[in-house]
Order: sequence, then C-alpha cells, then structure tokens
Amino acid sequence: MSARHDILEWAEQGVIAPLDLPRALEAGGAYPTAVDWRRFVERLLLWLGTALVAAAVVFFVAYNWDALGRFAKLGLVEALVVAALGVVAWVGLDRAAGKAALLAAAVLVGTLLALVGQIYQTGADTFELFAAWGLAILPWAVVARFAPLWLLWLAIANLAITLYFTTFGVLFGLLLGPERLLWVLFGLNTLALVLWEAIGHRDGPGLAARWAPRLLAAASGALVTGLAIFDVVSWRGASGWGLVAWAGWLGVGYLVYREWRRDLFVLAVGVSSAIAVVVTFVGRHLVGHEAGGFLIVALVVTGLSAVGTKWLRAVAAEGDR
Amino acid sequence: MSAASRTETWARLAAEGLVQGEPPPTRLQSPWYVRVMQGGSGWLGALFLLSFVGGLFSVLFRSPEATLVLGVASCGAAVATFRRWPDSDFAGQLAFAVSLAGQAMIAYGLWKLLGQREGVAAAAMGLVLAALFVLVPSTLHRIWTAWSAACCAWLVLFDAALAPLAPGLFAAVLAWLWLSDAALARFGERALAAGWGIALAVAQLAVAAAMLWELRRLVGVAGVPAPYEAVHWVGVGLSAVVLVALAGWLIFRQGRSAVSGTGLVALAGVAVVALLGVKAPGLTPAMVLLLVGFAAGSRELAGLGVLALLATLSQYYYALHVTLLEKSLLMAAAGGALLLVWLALRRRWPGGGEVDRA
Repeated sequence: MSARHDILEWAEQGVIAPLDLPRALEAGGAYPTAVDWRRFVERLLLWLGTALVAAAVVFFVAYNWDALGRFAKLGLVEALVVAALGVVAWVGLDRAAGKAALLAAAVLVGTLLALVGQIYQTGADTFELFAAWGLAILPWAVVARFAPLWLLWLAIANLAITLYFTTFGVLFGLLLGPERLLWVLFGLNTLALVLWEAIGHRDGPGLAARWAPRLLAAASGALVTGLAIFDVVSWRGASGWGLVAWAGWLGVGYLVYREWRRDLFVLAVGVSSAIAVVVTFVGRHLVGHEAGGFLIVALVVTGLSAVGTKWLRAVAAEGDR
Repeated sequence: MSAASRTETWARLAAEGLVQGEPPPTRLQSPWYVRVMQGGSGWLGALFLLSFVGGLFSVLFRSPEATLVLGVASCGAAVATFRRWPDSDFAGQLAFAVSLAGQAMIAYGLWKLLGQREGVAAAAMGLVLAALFVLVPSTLHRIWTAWSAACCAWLVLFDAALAPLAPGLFAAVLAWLWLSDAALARFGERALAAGWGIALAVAQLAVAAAMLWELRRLVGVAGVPAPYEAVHWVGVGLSAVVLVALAGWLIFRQGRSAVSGTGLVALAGVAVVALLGVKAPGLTPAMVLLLVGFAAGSRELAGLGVLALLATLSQYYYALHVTLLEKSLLMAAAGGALLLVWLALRRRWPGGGEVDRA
C-alpha cells in the first residue's frame, strides 16, 4: 500500500486531525516531488509521442491510399524503420528514448510486412505474416532485454499460433480442435513464464519488474483453467489431461508463489481459477434439474470466494509483519 | 515492503508533530486484484441467485411491483447483513451477491413502472444506488454502487440529449474526489470508493468515445435534438478545459508558475493532447485519469489511465467519423508535436535540475 493509503487510513482512524490531513499528505511523501514530476512528464511526452507516430503509420498503411505509389509507401515505412533504428544506435538501449525507438521499429516492421502483402498480394496466410514478424524482431527482443518488447513478441507468437490453428482447423477440425490450440498456447506462455522467473531477473533491470511475469501467469492460468473446464464439461470429447495439468499448475504455482517468491497476484489468479473450475463442476451436475441447484451453486461461489479472500489476506498480512 | 514503508511514513509525520506514539495496527485491506476477484464472484453468485429466485417465484417477475418489492427486500437484507457482520468474509460476499441481485430486480421494476423511459428510471435507480452507497459499509460495494450510479447519471444525460457532457463532468468529479484534500478529510474512505467508481466510469467513457460519437451521428440521423451537435462541441470543449485546468492546478500545487519553463512545457504537451482530443474524444478523459493517478500517488489509477489510453487508441481505429488517412495525419502531427516538446524539454532544461529551482 502507498504512503497516501496509510495516511488516509490513519486520518479515518482519527490519529490525524482532518485539518492536518493536507500537511500530513505533503510531509508523508504521498505526493510526487518535483523530480518525480519531471521524470513523469518526460516519459509521458516520449512514450505517448512515439505511440501516436507508430499508430499513425499503421493507420496510414491500413487506409491503402491510391494516390501514393507502392514505392513511395514502401520507402516511407522503410525510412521510418531506419530512422527508428538510427535513434537506437545514437542514444543506445540503456536510455528510454532508445527503448521507445526500438519498440516503434518493431511495430513498424509488422506494418512493413503487412504493406508488402497488401501491395504484392503474396497469397500468404495471415499467420505467416505474424510468424515472419515475430522471427524478424526476435533478435531485437533478445538484445534489448526490455519487458514490453518481449511481451509484444509473445503477443505476436500467440496470435500467429491462433491464426494457424484457425486456418487449418477449418480443414482438419478433428485434428486441430480448440482444445489442442489451448494446449499449445498454454505450453508457450507457461514456458515463457518459467524462463522469465528463472533468468529474467538476472538479465538486467529491464526485465525485473513484476508486472510482466504476472501477466504471463494470468495468461497461463486462464489457458489451463480453460483446459480443465473443457474436461469438466467434456466438450467435443476432451482428452482428460486438462484437469491433471490444472491440478499440477495449481500445486506448482502454490509452491513457487507462496513459498519461493511470494506473489499475491498469482495466488489470486490461482484462487479465481479454482473457483471457476469448481463452480463449473458443481453447476454441470446441479443446474438444470431444479431451482435449488442455482442456490447451491450461488452458495458455493460465495463460500469459495470468501475462503479465498480470507486466505489471500492472511498471506498478505504475513508480509506486513 | 508495506511494513517498512509504513514505519517510514509514520516517522516522517512524527517528525512534523502530526502524530504521536506508535502507529495503530493496520486493518487488513484487499489489494485491487483481490477486489476484482471478489467482485467477479459476487456477480456470478448474483446471477445464480437471480436464476434461483426466477425459477422458484417466476410468477413474481410478471409483476413489476412484486419484483420491486422483492428487490428492496433483498437489498434491505444485504444492508442488514453488511452492518451486522462487517468483518465476516462469507457474510460480506453473500450480502454482496444478494445486493446485486436485489439491485437488478429494483432496476427491472423501476424500468417497467416508470413507463420504460431511460432517464426517469435511471434517475430513480441512481437514488437507490446513492442510498446503498451511504448505508453499506463495504469498500467493494461502494465502488460498485458509485460506478453504477455514474452509469445511471450517463443515462439521465443521454435521455436529456446531454450525454456528450458526461466525459468532462465525470473527469472533473474524478479530479475533485482524488485530489481535493477537503473531500478526503471530510469523506475519507467514502471519497476513495466513490473516486474508484468514477474512475472506472471515466475509463469506460474514454474507451467507448468512438462508439458514442457514432451514437451521436445516429441520433442526428433520427432527426432528434437539433442542439445535439452544439452540445457535442460543448462536451469536447469541457473535457479539454478540465484537462488543461487540471494541469494548471497541478503546476500551481507544485508551487511554480504556469509561465515558468517546465510549466509551459507541461501545458504545451497537455494542449496538444486536448487538441487531438477534439477529433479523438476518448484521449482527453484517459489523460485526466493518468494525470490524476500520478498526482495522487496511486499507481493503480495511473495504470488504469495507461490502459485507457492504449484501449482508446485501439478503439479509435474503428471510429467512422474520420477516415483512416485523416486519423493518421492527426496522430502523426500530435505525436510529432509531443516528441518536439520532449526534445525541447531535454535540450532547454537538461537533467531536471531546473525543476527544483523554478
């Protein structure tokens, strides 16, 4: 919790007089200092400016303007990629400007590939575009060691795999059903999470922030929950391994994020996952027969959520001691 | 981290003579993601409860009066449970689900009884939610009722053909709730909960801005309120004024002049966003969220602002009121201008030392 939160809590408890509250917030460091503001304004201008310019190029290519020849379009996007890389070479990857320029270059490479497909009508499937994009920027992600760039890469990889399965799922629906797609995406995101936790924090400050592995854990947890629910409802003859993987994920997740690297966010993901699977199980067997089934499911949701909240708060309190 | 930082904050206050003795024991608070989990479970529980009641007393739902009475009884039971067992997780969670189910029944009953007019029913529902906000001593429930009441307020404005004013008005209320020391001192936890409810509504309006623009077009096509076009521009202007005024006030709060070097740079950046907001209306409220979050020292609110900004930009792609080419040129100009302002800041006042001296 922040200094602001603590001070407001004390004010509510009557420890700080209401009239003293403004002075307490100031003295307690609840407000950002002049240096904080300076850093914030700089970052905001840099990142919002970069995001707007990169988005402008994407919108421009999507408009498919006839008045501009294909070489002019290709030249424009290529020139911007080169300019962005020029900024990276000039200021280096340790500074925010270098990181912003590299992220913009990575987005522009995807735009360039889309433009090539648009102009030459290559006949390539959409998943090939994303696969090529991912391959093209992979070396940059490795070199930059910058969380947003890695997450962009992972998002592209997830999209490429999903599009691949969507494309071929139509042809070989039985072979490449939605359950198999979930398995592949679960494998990819869980592997990324494991690698991030194992070596990410040793690989420089760019990968040390907790928000990125938390996002990966949420993705991995959502996918394995989907697999377990697949098994519970036995949709299209699920394999039965989903529940095993889910139980394993919960167990390993508990050990890792409770005992080794305590992370309440990931534990909350686990609790939410448990609620979803148990409620699906109870609902499948009770709902539809009579109205009382709905009441039992409602009480199960409420009970699980209450127990989960109590446990999470107890874990949080351990950290405060 | 929490215990150490709390001790440090306490020591700072003690040094200023604002507190004495040892810090009081901390109340166990849930982080935002635990509240999200509780809220989601509450919703799920409410849906099953409604299905139970609907299955058992389906005849009641055919009469709006009976639905309304049942809804009021449910909310009454929820209020009593919340107040009787304020520290019980199970009672709190059950009461939350019962209250949500009750609110759904009241909303349905009011809608039917008040002639199915959005504005009137929404105003009545807003009053119910305001009462629940005051009566239920639960932060999660207060955040929910504040957000729902904001949605009702939007519906009232929509019914009066004043919906375009909502982003600016809500953004102003948001800034007041989060940054006004007087509001915090007077209302404490209630101001915080209301602040979160309004923040969610502002994020929602920012992301839906492109769709709302289309709504404006459709309303125009239907030939309804002629002044709607004027109201739209007043709304856009109001959002811009709120953003610029907020930036100016924050510069003032930092004890420096708006015409100082960094003050001018900050105002220039905000003015660029406000100008772009004329054609991309979601951008302005999203930026207010981000600024208020940072100024209030809330990483969660600032994070919501960043998410709203990103979602607004993504959503803007699908907006039909301007072509992709126009959007592209607008964003390139605004992005280029922001980068120029950034460059000027770095070149003219390097290192940030000037900030401390200004």
